Amino acid sequence: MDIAVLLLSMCFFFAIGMPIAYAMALSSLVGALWIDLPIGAVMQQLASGVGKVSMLTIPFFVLAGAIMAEGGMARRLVDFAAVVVGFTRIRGGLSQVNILATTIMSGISGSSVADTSAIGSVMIPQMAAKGYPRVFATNVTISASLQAIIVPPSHNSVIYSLATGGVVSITSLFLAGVLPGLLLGFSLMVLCLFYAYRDKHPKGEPVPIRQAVKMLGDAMWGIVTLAIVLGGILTGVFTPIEAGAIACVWAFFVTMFIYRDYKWSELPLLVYKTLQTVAMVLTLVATASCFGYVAALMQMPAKMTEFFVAISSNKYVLLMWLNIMLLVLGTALDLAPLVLICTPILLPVVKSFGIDPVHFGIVMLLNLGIGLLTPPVGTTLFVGCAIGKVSVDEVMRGIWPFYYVMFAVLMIVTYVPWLSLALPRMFGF
Amino acid sequence: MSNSAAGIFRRLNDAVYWTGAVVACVALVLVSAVIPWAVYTRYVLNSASSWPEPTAVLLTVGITFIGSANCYRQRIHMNMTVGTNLLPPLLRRASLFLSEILMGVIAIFMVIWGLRLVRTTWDNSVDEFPWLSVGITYLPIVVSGAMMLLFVIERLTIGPPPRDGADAHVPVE
Amino acid sequence: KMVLKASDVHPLGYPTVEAVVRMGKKLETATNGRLTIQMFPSMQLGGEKEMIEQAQLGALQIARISVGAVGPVVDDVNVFNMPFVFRNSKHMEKVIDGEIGDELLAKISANEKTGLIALCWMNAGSRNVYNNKRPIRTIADLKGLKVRMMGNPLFVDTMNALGGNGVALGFDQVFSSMQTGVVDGAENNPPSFIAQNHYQVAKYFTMTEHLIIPELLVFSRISWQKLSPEDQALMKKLSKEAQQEQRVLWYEAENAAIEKMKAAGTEIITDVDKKPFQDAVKPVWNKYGAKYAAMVKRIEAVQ
Ligand code: NA
Ligand code: NA
Repeated sequence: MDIAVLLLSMCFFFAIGMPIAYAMALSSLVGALWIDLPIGAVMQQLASGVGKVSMLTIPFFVLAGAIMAEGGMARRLVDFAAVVVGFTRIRGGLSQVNILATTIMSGISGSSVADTSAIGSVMIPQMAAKGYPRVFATNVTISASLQAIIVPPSHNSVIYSLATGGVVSITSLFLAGVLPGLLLGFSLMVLCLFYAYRDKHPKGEPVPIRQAVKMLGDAMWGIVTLAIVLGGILTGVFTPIEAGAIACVWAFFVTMFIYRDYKWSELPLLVYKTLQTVAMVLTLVATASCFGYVAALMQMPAKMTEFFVAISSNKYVLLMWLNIMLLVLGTALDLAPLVLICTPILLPVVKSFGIDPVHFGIVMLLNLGIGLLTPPVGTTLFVGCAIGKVSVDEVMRGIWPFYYVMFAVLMIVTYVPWLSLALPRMFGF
Repeated sequence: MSNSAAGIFRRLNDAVYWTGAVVACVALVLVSAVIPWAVYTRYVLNSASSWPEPTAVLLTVGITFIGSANCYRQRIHMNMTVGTNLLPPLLRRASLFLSEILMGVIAIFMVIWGLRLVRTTWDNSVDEFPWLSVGITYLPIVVSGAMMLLFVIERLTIGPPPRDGADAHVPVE
Repeated sequence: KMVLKASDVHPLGYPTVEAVVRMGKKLETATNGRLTIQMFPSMQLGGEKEMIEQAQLGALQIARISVGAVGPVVDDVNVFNMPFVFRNSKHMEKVIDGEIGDELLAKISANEKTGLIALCWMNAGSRNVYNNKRPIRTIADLKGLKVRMMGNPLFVDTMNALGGNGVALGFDQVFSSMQTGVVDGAENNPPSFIAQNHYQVAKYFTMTEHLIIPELLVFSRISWQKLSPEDQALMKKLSKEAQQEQRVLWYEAENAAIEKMKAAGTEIITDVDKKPFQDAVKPVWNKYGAKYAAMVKRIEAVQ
């Protein structure tokens, strides 16, 4: 009964169009009043939910990603990918350039929307000019952009880590995302190769040597960011929080003093926009923490575990049910709120079935990432359509092969835990 | 509300909004500077200072709550429109009105129970800064609630302000 | 019927948690199910800071906290934070079981600013230095090691006085920081050393016993006032029993942890001459300890 009051009130507030963050806060208040909990305790959770050191990584990676995406680093990464792919003269070369550039961009940003807008705005017009259908170009862009969410650095991994109450370390999640992310990129490349031969896409063109060297040199400054963030964390020079902060300083330095195609006068606006994103995400973290607190007092995690144990005692069956449930929820809700709501409730379930929380985190992020490409609420899908100048309906008609590939990757990541756990194990987590 | 009164009220809200925005932006820049400073002291000055992290955390709590109220005014918070889009126009307007009222209710809770929390924890001190009362660290909730209440009243009386192009905020997902 | 919510940062089975769970069973029996304790372990309701505030608000009834948490209001308890204030664990137990212990509990309960009623003390063992660089046998071996300490400046200064580099870091960051070399070591009791998997990254464990800090079990003042005098008396009686029971559980856990450390190949150094360590922290005593002089005299007098 307690749980029904909490969940139904939340669904009602969602449905009448309240901001998701505040719908969670209000349902927590309703739940607190229902179980006679002092309201002050909910207010406390509001602040202590974000008052955690590891949470600092979120503003840092958002800011660093914003500087790099707007400061011309994305364009140079596309050039870099063009040089690498161009020399193979592969059929459908521009699709491969698009995916490779997104893979590298994913090693810098943690947002699929950022990747879609940064890479898509450069690549989709180029591909269209060379005769690729716009719908296809858009689908390649948005599906490749999912890599950003699981390839480190990713503030969504941080959100998951926070939602586990710090049980799962940010570093191990970062490591766990590398191979699944690369697998997704690789699978999409294979799909594009198939399309390239079927639909006779143009061959890639090698970049003249002199130009290629300059492009590679320019891109190196961006790729160094990758080394700073991942290398810094793995060698122990920085904590993940410090790596985020250093990435900001580095991105700022490269953009303002090396590339110099961003104006100083634009900086305050960049900070202002970053502030809005950070505040929006952290509000979700704050209110989800109230929700998780009230849910914990109602013994929701324990009851959820009983429920799933009753369905099946097999962890592979459980994983399938969880995947289906998350895919359904993901169609209608955004990634961050779902991670924040579901993790505290599902973590005890997952643990009692002997599933590694790090592995589950990657499964969940990939699964909900696919949800970003599905209507009715699909942020990345919508942004991709806007950038590709195509309608959602058109994109939807061409997206199914991409869904199949992403679903296949999701199944592999779900049922081959090694993919997620090999790297963390190698580094002793 | 008469036109001139509406104009004054709009300007008041603008002033609150921009004061909050500037304070939070400065705090965000400070946060991004303070942590690299900690790295610098550890590696270059070879003495790890312990204040930067907790300072950054406290600033970020402030950024979150002030920024959150501002995001409400600019309609940046994510919400679900699937449900309301299915409704006939009259019901849709009613449900949006209800959702604004409920935002006001949350804001009132944040002010009143936020203040009570501040009072309850006034004599506790922050671990890392013994001179700082825990109560003060909860003040952003109260400030945010008060700002939001003002913005809710603004929306219900004279309507929301025009957007400042903030649709183009930095993407998250 | 009333359900008392209890919380702890440690998981089920940990001595402090188990002691409160057992207390709950006794309470249930004694009141024919009128009063029960529902345990929320493993930081389900937040860390220590959050637990205290929830108790002050009356959202939580029973919490297990460290003395540092009430230190800012009831300064006297801070004396337990001083390095080497106790000769050994037995000495500490004599002190908290005796009149000093009772007096401090009463002081916490009497001070309205704490918002808490102090029920009893709990044993948290002694803290020892461990690291992944070299075995520490003498104070010279500590020289230059970066050791994670708890946030209180007193603890950081203690490590610095011992010749190491005290680094204040969050508890959750210790493992990865040690693994990646941000710090060379840390200090804690054997059960935490095992529970946090620190044995995987630190090979040398030295029984320095530089800090022996008991912990507190507290009750929400708001909720306390809702209990009848009989129930209050019952709670106090059961708490006193819990204080003794928890101690037994603690030593079982500690011995089990030490066995695990041996099995994992941790080099445990027990034969340390503590005198040079005690002498080295004199500056810390001069800086922080002057105001506790009278109390320290009484503690030293306890045999
Ligand atoms: Na990423
Ligand atoms: Na969706």
